[in-house]
Amino acid sequence: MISKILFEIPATYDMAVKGGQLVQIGGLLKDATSGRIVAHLQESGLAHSLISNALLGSTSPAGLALSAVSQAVSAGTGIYTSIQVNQIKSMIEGLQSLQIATLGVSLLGVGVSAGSFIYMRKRFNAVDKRIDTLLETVINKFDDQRKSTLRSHLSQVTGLVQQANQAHTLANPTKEYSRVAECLAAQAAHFEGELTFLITTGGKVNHDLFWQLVQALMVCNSTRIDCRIRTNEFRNAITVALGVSESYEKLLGQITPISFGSVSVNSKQSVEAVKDIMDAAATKPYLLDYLHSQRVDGPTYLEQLEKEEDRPLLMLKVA
Amino acid sequence: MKDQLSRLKSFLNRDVTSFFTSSPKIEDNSPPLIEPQTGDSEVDSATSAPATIEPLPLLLNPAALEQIAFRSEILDWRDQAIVSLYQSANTSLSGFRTYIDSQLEDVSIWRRALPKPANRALSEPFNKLVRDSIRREMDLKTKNLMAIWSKRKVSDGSEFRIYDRWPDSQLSYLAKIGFKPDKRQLIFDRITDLVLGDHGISDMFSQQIIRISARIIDERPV
Repeated sequence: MISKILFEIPATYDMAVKGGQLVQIGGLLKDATSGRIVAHLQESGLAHSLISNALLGSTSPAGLALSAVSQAVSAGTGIYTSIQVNQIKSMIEGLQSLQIATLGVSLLGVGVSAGSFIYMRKRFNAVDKRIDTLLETVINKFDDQRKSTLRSHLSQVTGLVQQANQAHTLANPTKEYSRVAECLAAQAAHFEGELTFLITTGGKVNHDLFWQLVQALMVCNSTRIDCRIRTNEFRNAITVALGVSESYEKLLGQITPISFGSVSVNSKQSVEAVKDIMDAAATKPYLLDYLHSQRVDGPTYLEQLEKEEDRPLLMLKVA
Repeated sequence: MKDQLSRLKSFLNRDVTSFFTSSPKIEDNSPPLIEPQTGDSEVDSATSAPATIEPLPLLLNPAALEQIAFRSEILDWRDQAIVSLYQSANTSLSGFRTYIDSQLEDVSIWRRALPKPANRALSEPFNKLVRDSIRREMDLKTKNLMAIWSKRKVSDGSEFRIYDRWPDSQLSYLAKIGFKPDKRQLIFDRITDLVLGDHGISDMFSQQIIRISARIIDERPV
């Protein structure tokens, strides 16, 4: 067993990916011949602090196309310092070198979710506001009861993420993380139900609402897995991650370029981002499995990632 | 006596733990804290290596990654096929409008008074210029799909063919429209509907593409 977890940078694998020796699937690289997993993509906390501003302005997955993000950053919105601009570009180049097309994989953590609860909450607050606007102005299929129920669930999730953020100050944070994880499972089920209804009732899917509900669902799932890691419940985290992957396949696998109406650049990019999300969710259990097998201490691992200040993207080399 | 008393005194004053110095140490079986390190990929040789502990067995089988890759490939095929379908439909529709325009210009005066039904005027060219074009695109996509499927060497994939099942009777929607210049926009709108609307040709093909891909993913080869 390795005594240290070794991280490398994505550029280390660039040539092998381009040359076809390594194949990228979701958040991992595997050997094209043997099928052995070689490395897992892992975002550091730096990635989340960089992405969160970029994604807050995005009302659809189309805004996650790496080219779009790169352009937005280059245009200079005043949000980023020049160092941050270089870090984001480095991150985008890292993802592109691994043949990942959108930031969909980054929505709520490639690999183990390394976004602190603060960023999770920030992201979710933006989603909450956007859904509120949609309910008021655009969505006329929602009756008052349904609007009220949806708002209630959104508020509950906001509260739960806040509680997860505060758990470390308790004498027994393990109990709190476990409680939050259980509650978020129920919330995730609600958003999954809303999405199922939205997708299967027939007709055009409201693109904006779909995207916001997907993010709400992902906040719930990502946070619950995060909580399990913080309590070193890796076996449960793996089981949850497998269930999440299965439900994303069933739900998001239905989205095609014509789901939102006519085929357009927007709908094509949306579908790409949705597929990246599905693939990242499908490979997350393998990273958790590896960490479990190496007896990695969950809280320490997350803390290390959150403290990373130089590199937004890391590759966890498999021993 | 004095000697025995002093020995008894020192025995009673002895530290309790000293009675256990010879007993085996209770081993700490809890897994050691492995701290992740960020930095260069070379192991720091200055630090002393801790005792090696065997990793736990992996719970997941990496061979299942092949299923994920296959699903991804099929979904990519599905989405590219749908995009190509609509691109082909739009292109051929655009060409067909140009054809309709030229035909409408040639409608004689007496035919303007007693127009031919639009479906009679347009069925054959519609099939040639629009349907055949879309069908050719779908045949190409079917070949792509079979190539993906047969890579897994299970079967040739011929059961996943895309068929043109759009009924000719749909063109009868044009029957009540006379083929003459002042009906130009109405004819265009109806044709567009037949190609791009609900239950139109593109819809028929796209539903097949979606069903086929869902079926393949469900039946993915092991």
